[in-house]
Amino acid sequence: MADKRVEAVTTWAQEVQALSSKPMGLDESAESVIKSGDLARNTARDLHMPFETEPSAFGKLLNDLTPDDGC
Amino acid sequence: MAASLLHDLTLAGAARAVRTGEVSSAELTTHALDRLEQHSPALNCTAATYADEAIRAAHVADDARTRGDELPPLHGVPLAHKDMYYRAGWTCENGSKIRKGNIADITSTAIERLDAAGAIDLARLNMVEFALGITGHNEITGHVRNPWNTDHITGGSSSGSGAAVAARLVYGSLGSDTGGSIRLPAACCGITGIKPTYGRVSRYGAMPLAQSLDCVGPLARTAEDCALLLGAIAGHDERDPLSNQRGVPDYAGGLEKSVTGLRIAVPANHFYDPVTDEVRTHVENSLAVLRDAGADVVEVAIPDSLSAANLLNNLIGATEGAAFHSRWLRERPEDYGPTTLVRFLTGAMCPADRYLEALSLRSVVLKDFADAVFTKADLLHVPLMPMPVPTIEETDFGTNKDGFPEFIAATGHCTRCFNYLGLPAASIPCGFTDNGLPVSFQLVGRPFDEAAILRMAHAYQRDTDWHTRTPEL
Repeated sequence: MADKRVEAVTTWAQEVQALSSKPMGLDESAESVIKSGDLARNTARDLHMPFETEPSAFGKLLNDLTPDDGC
Repeated sequence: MAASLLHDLTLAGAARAVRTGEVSSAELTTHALDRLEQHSPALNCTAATYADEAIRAAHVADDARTRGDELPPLHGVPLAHKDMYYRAGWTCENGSKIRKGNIADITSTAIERLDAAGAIDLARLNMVEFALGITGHNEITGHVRNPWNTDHITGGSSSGSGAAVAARLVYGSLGSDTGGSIRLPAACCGITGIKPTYGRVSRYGAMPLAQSLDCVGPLARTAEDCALLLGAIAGHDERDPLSNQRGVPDYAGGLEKSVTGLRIAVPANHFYDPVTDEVRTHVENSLAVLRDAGADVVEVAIPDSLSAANLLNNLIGATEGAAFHSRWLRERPEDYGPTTLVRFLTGAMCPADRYLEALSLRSVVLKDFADAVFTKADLLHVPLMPMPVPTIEETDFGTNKDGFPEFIAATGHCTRCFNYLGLPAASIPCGFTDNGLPVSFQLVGRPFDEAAILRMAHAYQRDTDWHTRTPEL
């Protein structure tokens, strides 16, 4: 299963990037992005990320956590 | 002042010497240019030098002092910066073939602010290709060499900045940090560096790598030097809408405040996983110094969610980087170094929903982390480079493919998560491993509390002399 996914992503990347030759380590990159992507999804599930969470919540939290003398 | 003593000055010491007339800016600048010319070839740390411009600016600085003008804090002090800070009319090649011959048509806010603070700009320093890498290897412009032993890596991506400051060629340098690119070169080269809070310093006119993670910050010899540089460049800039609106504390003015009662957290888990015994001993010794200086030490459990932060940081960094580079990736893939190309392609393959999930999770993971650490402490004390600084050959992708992914994961284990969380973090030298290369520890603070980090680092450097050690060139 994982090998087919790696192959599919590799093929896709080569087409999208119009590469004539397979660059060194592209298989490893495909594995890496699958692993990281799965981690993002699993972490979101495990942490019960609320539906309303947006990237802007991060900026607000940085400000909320700033001590008084942080100016 | 004898020429042999000039390069032993810290940035703060050089600024004081110019201010009092003990030395002229022209003397300092000429001496720094001479050292750059003499030592850069062995270290491969300089991309371009602007000697005539620098000498002219130094004479202008000396004239201002002679007239009795009010002098700004970095008046007449020579600096050089990572080759990603634009100055109109100067080359800016980003350690790449793709940007070879690029002439900047704008000047970055950080450079403008250093100009306003009186600094003299000498040169652009070599870096990892497009800042995408944490070892210092560069397949296009050549690897920068560590001044403590030129067979060893400098760390990256601000590799030239780390080497030039450690070798006492310049008094300080701007770097950038997306996953450890200020802190790792500082650690590998035995100097001090601080990645500020995300948004503390404007990125306008600095080459982007990943806009959600990039931070501009200084590398210098001491915490005091970093305080002066950060104080000069920090603060809102309407040309970088993501720069924060809050005011900037007097970092240098706050360094002598007592650290008694400041609480330092040490991690019960996670951070020491890849750390060797030798590095652990040095890092733990640094904690004893901080305790003796008056800090209260408490142990904290790091939440499991942080273990995801390094990979999520990579995911965001590679994806945003791939977006910036999409045209060149399509049109000129052969002009990238092979390692850089593979790293950008990793990002090009990331589905949009996973990227957005990784971004959205930042607030969730930060909340977890802050609840665990900052409810009990003001700062977190953790390792930085987990193993003794390795050789260039040992860590070259081309010659060591088998161990490469594990090495890269271990090297960034203690740094990447703080880019993901947006928190300020500094690298402070605390000894040398048996191979003669430096080792450092890391202090992490609350958002926008760089002042507490710098104050604690300064207290450490008052009681130790690791930061004063100088490599023999």
